[in-house]
Amino acid sequence: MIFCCDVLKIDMMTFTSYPDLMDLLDDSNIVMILSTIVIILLTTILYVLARGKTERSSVLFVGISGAGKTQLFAQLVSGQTKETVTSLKENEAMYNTSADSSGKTKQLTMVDIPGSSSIRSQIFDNFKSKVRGLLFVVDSGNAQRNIKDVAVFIYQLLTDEIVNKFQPKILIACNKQDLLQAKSKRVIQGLLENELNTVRKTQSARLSHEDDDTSDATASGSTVFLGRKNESFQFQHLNKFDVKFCECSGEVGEENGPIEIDEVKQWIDSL
Amino acid sequence: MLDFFTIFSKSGLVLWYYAFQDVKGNFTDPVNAFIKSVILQERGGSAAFIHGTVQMKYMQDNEFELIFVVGYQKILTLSYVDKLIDDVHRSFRDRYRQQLLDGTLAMLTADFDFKSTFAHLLKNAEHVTVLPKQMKGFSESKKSQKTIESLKIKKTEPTSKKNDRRNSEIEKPKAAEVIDPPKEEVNPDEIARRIEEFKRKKTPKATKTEKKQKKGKTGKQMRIWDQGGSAKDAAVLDYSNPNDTSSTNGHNGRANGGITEEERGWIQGSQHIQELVVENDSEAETAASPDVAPSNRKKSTGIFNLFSNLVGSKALSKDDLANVLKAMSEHLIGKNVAAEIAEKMCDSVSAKLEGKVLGTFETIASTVKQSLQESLVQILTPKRRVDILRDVLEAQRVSRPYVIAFCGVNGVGKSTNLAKISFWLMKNGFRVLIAACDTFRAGAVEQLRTHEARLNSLYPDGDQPKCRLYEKGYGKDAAHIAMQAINAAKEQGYDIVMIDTAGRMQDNEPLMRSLSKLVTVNSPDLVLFVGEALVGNEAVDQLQKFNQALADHSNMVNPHCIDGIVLTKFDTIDDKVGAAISMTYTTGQPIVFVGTGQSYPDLRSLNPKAVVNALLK
Repeated sequence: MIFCCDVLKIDMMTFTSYPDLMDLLDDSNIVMILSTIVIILLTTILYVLARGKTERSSVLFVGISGAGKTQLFAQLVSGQTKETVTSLKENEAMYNTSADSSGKTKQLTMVDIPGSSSIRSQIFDNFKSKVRGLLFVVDSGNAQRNIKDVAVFIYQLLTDEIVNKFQPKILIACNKQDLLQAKSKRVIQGLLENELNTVRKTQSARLSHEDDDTSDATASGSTVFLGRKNESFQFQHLNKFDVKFCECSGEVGEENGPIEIDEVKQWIDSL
Repeated sequence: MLDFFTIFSKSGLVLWYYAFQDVKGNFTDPVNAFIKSVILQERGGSAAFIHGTVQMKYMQDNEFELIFVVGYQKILTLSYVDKLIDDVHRSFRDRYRQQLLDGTLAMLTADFDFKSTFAHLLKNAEHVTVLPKQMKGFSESKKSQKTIESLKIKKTEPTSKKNDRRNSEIEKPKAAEVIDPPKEEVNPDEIARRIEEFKRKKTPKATKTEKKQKKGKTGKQMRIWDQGGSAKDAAVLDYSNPNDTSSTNGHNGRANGGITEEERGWIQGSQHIQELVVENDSEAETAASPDVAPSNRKKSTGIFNLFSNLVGSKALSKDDLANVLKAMSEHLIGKNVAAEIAEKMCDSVSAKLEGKVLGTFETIASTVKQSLQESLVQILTPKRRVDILRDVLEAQRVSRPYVIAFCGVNGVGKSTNLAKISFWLMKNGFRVLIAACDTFRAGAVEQLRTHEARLNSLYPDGDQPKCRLYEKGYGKDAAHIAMQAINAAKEQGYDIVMIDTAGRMQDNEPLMRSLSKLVTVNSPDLVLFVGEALVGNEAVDQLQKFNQALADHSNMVNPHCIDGIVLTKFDTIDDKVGAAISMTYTTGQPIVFVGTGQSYPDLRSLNPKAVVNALLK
């Protein structure tokens, strides 16, 4: 911009012989041009700064259908238990974390992504670029029956390009602990690691990037191999991701136990 | 009399419900089933749904993203239900408009105390008696109007009906057209048919002589059966030539069991099935679309919000949508989507968008296109996990073979794609047994034998061959051969059994019965329907009838229907990829493989976004 001004000045000097141009380019005009350029620059800087603040402040609730995401979401955001049915669209709400050591609270966006396999990938793609924390909800009562679907979904999440780029913190919440047949988080972690051991081989044999890629940003790559190659899969082998497990319950249990979502709240506060 | 009435948001929160005798469990199961089958499968055009004994009617409010569902026993015929839903919708919306506009948090915390209003509306609705339809009098019926018209004709052109049948047949339609075109009593097809009929009647002798001539030329030729000949026919039926040493089952003069160098290079390829790339799909487009879609979804913030308060917001009406959807429907039909499927999709999109309030800078066309794109991707994305390798490993763990059966009409590519899938499975280290249950078509068994030889020479493996053909020749019962093949696979440790069946037309009842018997007796793990991408409206009919036959002719409570679709000949269609939509919409089952050529590596998996991009271009 300064260069332009210099060019203008030089032009002025070379064209002093043209009195018309001199009249046009007198002081007040130059001031006006300069001020408009400054205003435009300022607004663009402000816009970029404002946009930068709202980047990546979402916590996404993901999981297969029936895991209890919407119920947990309602419990966290409003403290109320609501009846829920299968979600067709995402739920989005603001959430204020509790005050930390310095007394500051953060404001995060909670997004509850529906679990039905036909819509979850589309909706997830809309929100994944703003992810800060990934809350994966698992139904502890039906863990054994659904383990294959859960493992495939976790695999797809962990090998997703954009998730790999932003490396959000991951919490796997073993929900529905109020049920009698609910498994503990250690059991579920073992089941998942076992299943992911097999899944990482079979899923990578499905898709490929070997020649010119299909330029589909969501295609999971065979170049990403989870964990260590010659050892069975464990979550702590993942260098990029910080995966934690916790137990929670979004509903009042049969013995009228308390609703436990404290561990989830603590994890959110730590983001 | 109602079982339940719920109001819930599309995002899954139940705002209010009424359950008969306050039993909560009454409504969650039917409503979830309703959501899964109607909304998620884009069958939103019809307004009723039956689950077990409960009949459900529903209504979508697209402005506030709510769904109203009422359920009652299907044996009752309640006439007030439609009116009740409308009344409840209007009153709920007016009463809680502010909370609904305020967003998710408001919906969660607000207390929707609707019970008394609902009881009041229900009482009103029950008491309004709908009068039975009055019978039409004679003066209003079509018949009386006909005679009046014919009287009008007789005034100008006096012809008696008895004498001149010819004239009356032609003149009646003409007169009807002249006097009252909108009535459409006789349409052009009728006229053409009548003219043809008349022509035929005029020249009866000519047709008879034609038939006689045909018979005279060629009498029925005696058919010679391959295995049915006697010793007398030995000379005619003997095709072997002792001097001809070069032909060995078709591998004429080729070394290594007929594999060329290029084909040997196929083993070097990865174990992965690549994703489908649709032609004319520029990389820039597919890279741009994931970015474009999220930005469209972002609610306009900042400056634009100010403007939205100034400019009035417009709600979409059915007429606005009708024009755009008609154009979309024709576009889809032009891309080889079956006509009725395109109609149903557009009805479902219309139900989803009616009453929706547009943002300030959105046009109707862009909203409709966005919504249609989402629906199409939703249909093509599988509802269940599709991972054949994982399931094979599971079957291996319990030491039984994984059985895949291929069915379809004639000439779609069952045997070719069976060989391709076997190639892929062998590449991943499994041993495959091919069961030749096509005992009808000449050369079917030889074709599979050739494939077996080629696959084995591509993957040679010491003492035990990786691929083996189990065949019992021609003319035997397919179900029996399949059963024996599965037993043999279990004994000899083969991981996968691929059953190749004969092609059959969907309305050939004895053949459909025999296919159903094969599936029932052998209970395969995966029944794949093979369909070609070139098929048009036929796809719907084929799939419906195959599914129906498999369901009807098996005597089980839960019949084993089609589990997946193999879409073949995809390389021949450029970007007219509509058959994929027709097939997945009809069955609700995913497309497991896509065949893109006639050699072994030409196997792909479906990429929903790429296909939908090609479809909507």
